[in-house]
Amino acid sequence: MSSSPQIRNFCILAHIDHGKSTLADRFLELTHAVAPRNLKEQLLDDMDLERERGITIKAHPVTMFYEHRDTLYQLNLIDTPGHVDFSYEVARSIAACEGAILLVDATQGVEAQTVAHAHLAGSKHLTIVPALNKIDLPNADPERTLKQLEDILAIPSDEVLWVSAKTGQGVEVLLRRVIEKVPPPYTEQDELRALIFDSVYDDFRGAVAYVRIKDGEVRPGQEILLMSTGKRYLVKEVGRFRPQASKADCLRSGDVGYLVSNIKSCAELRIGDTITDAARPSPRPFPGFPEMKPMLFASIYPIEGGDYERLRTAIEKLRLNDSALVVQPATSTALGHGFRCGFLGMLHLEIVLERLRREHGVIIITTRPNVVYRLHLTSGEEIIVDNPAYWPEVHLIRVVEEPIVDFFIMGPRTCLGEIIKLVREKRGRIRETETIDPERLLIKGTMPLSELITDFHDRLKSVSRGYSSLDYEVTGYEPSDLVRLDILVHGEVVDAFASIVHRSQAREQGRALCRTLKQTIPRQLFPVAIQAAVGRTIVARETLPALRKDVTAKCYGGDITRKRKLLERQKAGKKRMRMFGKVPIPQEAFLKVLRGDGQV
Amino acid sequence: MTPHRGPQTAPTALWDDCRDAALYVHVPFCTRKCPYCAFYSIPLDDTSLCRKYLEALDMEIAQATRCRCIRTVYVGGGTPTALDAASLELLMGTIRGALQESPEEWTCEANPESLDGDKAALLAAAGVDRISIGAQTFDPDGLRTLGRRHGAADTRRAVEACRRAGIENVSLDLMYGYPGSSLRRIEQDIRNLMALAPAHVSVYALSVEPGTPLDRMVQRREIELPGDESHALQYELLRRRLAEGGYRQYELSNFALPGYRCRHNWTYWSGGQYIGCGPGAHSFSGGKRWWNPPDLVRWCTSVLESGRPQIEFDEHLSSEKRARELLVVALRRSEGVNRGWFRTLTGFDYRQLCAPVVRQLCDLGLLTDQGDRLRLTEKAYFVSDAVFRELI
Ligand SMILES: Nc1nc2c(ncn2[C@@H]2O[C@H](COP(=O)(O)OP(=O)(O)OP(=O)(O)O)[C@@H](O)[C@H]2O)c(=O)[nH]1
Ligand code: SF4
Ligand SMILES: [Mg+2]
Repeated sequence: MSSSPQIRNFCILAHIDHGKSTLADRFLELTHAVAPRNLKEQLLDDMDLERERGITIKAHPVTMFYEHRDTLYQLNLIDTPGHVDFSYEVARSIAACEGAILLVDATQGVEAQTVAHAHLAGSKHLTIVPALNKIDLPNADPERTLKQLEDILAIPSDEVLWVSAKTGQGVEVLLRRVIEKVPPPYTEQDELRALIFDSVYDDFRGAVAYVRIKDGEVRPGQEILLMSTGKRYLVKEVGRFRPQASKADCLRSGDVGYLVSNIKSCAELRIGDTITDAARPSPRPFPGFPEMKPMLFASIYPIEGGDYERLRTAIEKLRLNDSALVVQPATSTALGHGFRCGFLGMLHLEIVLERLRREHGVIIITTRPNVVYRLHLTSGEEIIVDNPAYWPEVHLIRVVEEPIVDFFIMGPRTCLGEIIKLVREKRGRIRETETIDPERLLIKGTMPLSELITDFHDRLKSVSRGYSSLDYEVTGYEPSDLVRLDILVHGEVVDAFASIVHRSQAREQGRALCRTLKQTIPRQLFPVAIQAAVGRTIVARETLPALRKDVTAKCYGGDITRKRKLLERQKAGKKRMRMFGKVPIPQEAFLKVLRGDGQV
Repeated sequence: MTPHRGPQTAPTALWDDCRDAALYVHVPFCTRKCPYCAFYSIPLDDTSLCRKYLEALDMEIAQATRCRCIRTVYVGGGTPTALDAASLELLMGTIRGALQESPEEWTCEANPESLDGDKAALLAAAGVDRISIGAQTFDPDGLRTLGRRHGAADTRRAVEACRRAGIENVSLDLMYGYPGSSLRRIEQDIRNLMALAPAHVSVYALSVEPGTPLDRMVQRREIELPGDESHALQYELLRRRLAEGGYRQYELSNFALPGYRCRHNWTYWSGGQYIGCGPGAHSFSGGKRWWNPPDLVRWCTSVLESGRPQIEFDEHLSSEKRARELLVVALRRSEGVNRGWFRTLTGFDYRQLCAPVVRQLCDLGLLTDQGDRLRLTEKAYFVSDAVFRELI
C-alpha cells in the first residue's frame, strides 16, 4: 500500500562500547539537529547514570532531517544499548524500524552482541547496513574484521562501509547509504495502528508512550483505544524527539514519536501494546513482545524500619520508568518489611539499587540475588521458589530444577584452556568450539543461569584480559543437587544472607562468606561466631574475636565536649546498622555478600 | 519498667552555683612542633607576641577568677617551660596575683630539655607544688620516632631539678603504642622510671590526630603503628608493672602513689567547674561549657580590646545529656560512680537512665553494679569507649 517515501526508520546495533552513541552524535551534527554549542559526547545518553558509567541503558529515539538528492528526508534513529542485560531494549527498537546499522569496532572485531543483535534484526527482516567503526585508531584491523563479518554473519566485505564516529570520517556516506538501502515504511491499512515500544513517566505529563505509527494517523483531541485492555483515552499531545520532546500537530504512518494522553500510570501503558482509533479500530493488533521475565530476584529492605514508606514511594517511581522491574512486598524476620524484586541481570540490579540510593536517598539493604527454581516435592506437588526464605525443609524435596542457559563466547584461542576451566568451575559444559579466524574462537555450551549471573562475565573478561564477550539465552530447566546455605551470626540465622548453592560448593562458599563477614562486621565486646550451615550441619565457621582496643587514653577538660560528640556520632552510626540479635551488621556487609565478594 | 524521671529537685545547684573552680592556664608556645601533636601551640620566636600574650592573660585571669574560689591551678600547653625564665616568672606572678588564697594544688607542665634548676626554683617560689614532665620514653630510638628533642639524661636532670627546688610531687608522662614500641622497651622504660621514683605517672597511647604530620605519614604508609593486640598488651604490662611498684591506678591513664592523685584533673572527671584562660582553653561553669578561640592573635586582640576573649563555642546541655556525659567521664575513674552522688548531682538514677544497657553490660562482664556503685571492670578498661558509646 501507500508508503512514506521520505521517511527512514533505523536503529544502530553493536556490541557494547563499539561506538553507537558516538555515531549518533555525528548524525546529529551532520543534520544540524543540535546547535553546535549544545553538542556533547554521547549526547543521547542523558541519564546521570548513563553519563557516569559511559554506557547506554535505555534506547533513545531521535528524529533528524537531511537533504539528499534534492529530497528532504525525515530520519528516525534509535540508539540502542549494547550491554547484554538490556537486550530487550534492542528487541523493541528493532520492532520500530525497517533498517539497522550494524556497527563493529575494528579494533575489537565481531563480538557476542554483534552476532546476537544481527541475528535478531535479520529474523525481523530488517535491512542491515554494516559498517566498521574506529578506523582512525592505529590498532584497527579492518581486514580481519571484514573477514569475521563474512565468515560469521555472511556479510560481503564490499557492502561494509568504513567510518570513524570520532572524527566523522565516512559518516555522511553511511547516512546516505541508509537512505538508499533501508526501505521506506509502508502501510497496510487506513485505520490507526501504533506500536508502543517504550514509555517513560513524567511528573508533569504522566505516562508518555514512545510510539511507532504503522498505519493511519493520530492527533491531539482524538479518542484512542489500547487494544490489550480495550480501554479508551483522549490524546493530549503528540510530538517528535528532536532530541528534546517537540510538539507536532499530528503523527502519521511511518513516524516515530511520543504520545501523551490521560493515561496516568505506566502500568496501564503496556510496552508492545497497540494503540488504535476508538471510533475506527484496527481489525488486529501487533503481535506484541514476549513477556519480559526477570532472571534473578533479590529483596530490598530499608535500613531503618521507619523508611519503609519512603522506599515504597521510591520503588513505585522507578517502576514507572522501568517496566522490566518486577516488585512484590516481602517480609523477613530479621529485616522487617521490604520488597522482593525481579531483575533482568546483575547490571540491571546494580542500576536499580544505585538509582534508589541516588535519586531517592533511601539507605537500603539487599539480599543475595538468586534465580527462580522449580521444586518437585515428595507430596507430588510442583512449586516455584524465587526466594531462599521459602525453600522447603530438605525431607520435603524430591527434585530441584534450575534454569539453564545456552551461551556463546567469542574469545582468544590462547585463552581456551582458562575459559574451559572457568566454565567447568561454574558447572557448565562446552558443546562445541568453532574457529572464527586464526586468533579467535566461538565457544558454545550450557551452564546454570545462577552461575552465569554471579560473576562469570567479570571472570571471563579477566581470564582473557578483556578480549572475550558473551551472549546467552535461557533454554529450560535441569535437575540439580541444590541446597540452601544459611548464615548464622552469633547463633542467629540472618535470612538475608541465605543462598541456594550446589551441594558440592556449599562448604567452600560457606567459608568464603564467613570470611567476608568476619572482615566487615565490626568487632564486638564479645567474640562472635559466624557460621554457615546446610540444614542442621555447620559447614564453615569463623570467630570474630572480641574487641581489643577502643579507648581514649587522654581525656581532660578540653576534650570532654569533643569526646561526647564523637561518642554520640558513633552511637548514631551504630543505629544505622541493623541489629541481628546482639550484633549490628553494617550495610557494607550486605553489599559485599550481594556482590559475591570473596566468593570462590 | 518505669520510665526514668527527670530531676525532681534542683540538684544541679551543687554544680552550678558553687564558687569553687579549677583554673587552667594555656601556654601556647613550644620550641618546635612534635609530629603527632594536635594541641594549639606555635613556635616561640616572636618575643613581642609573648609580651602581648602575658599582657592579655593578665587581664583574662583577673576577670575570670573574680568571685571564684580557685582550688587548683594547672599550667599546661604547649610547653610552659619553653618561656624564658623572666617570662615564666611574670606568668606565675600573674596567676599568683589573681588568687585570693593558696590553691590546694598548683601544677606546671614541663619538657625535660627546658626545665633547668633556675626555672624549677622560680616555679617553686611562685607556689607551684607539682610538676608534670613529658618524659614519653627513655629509649633514644623511641624519642627520635616521636620527634622529641630531649634525651633520657634530660629527664633525669629535670626530675633532679624539681627535687632540689623542693618540689616532691613530680609526675612523668609515658607513651606507648607508638611505631617501634614493644613490650621489651616498656620493661626498660618502667625500670628507668622506677629509678626516678615519681609520685605520679600518666600513660598515653599515641593517638593519631587527623591533620597532623604523623597522620600523613600513616596515611602514606611510611610508618606503621602497632596493632590493637599489641596496644592492649603494652597497656596491660604498664598497669601490672606500675601496680607492682606501688602505684595505684585511679583513672584509665593515671597512676599515683597513695595521696598523690592529681586533684585538678579529678575535677574534670567529677563534673566540677573549671575555668580555662589562654587561647583555645576550655571552661565549664554554671552548667555552661565554652572555649576560647584557638588562635593566639584572635584571642589576644579580643581580650586586649574588651577585657575578655571572644567565645569560640559555647553550649548548654540538657539535664539528661549532662547526666550521661558525667556518667561516661566519671566512669573513667577506677572507683567508678557512686549512685547517691550521681543522683544528687544530676537528678538521675543511672540504672534507669541507661536501662537496659547497664544490665546488659554487666552481663557481659564489662560493668559491675554493686548496688551503690557502678564501675568499669578491668577487662573493660581498654575497650571503655565501646562501653561509653552504649551509655552516652
Ligand atoms: N578513536 C575512536 N573512538 C571512538 C570511536 N567511536 C567511539 N569511540 C569511543 O568509544 C567509546 C564508546 O563509545 P560509545 O559511543 O559510548 O559506545 P556505545 O556503543 O554507545 O556503548 P554502549 O551504549 O554502552 O553499548 C567512547 O570512549 C568513544 O569516545 C571512533 O570512531 N574512534
Ligand atoms: S611539646 Fe607538647 S604541646 Fe608542644 S608540640 Fe610537642 S606535644 Fe605538642
Ligand atoms: Mg551508547
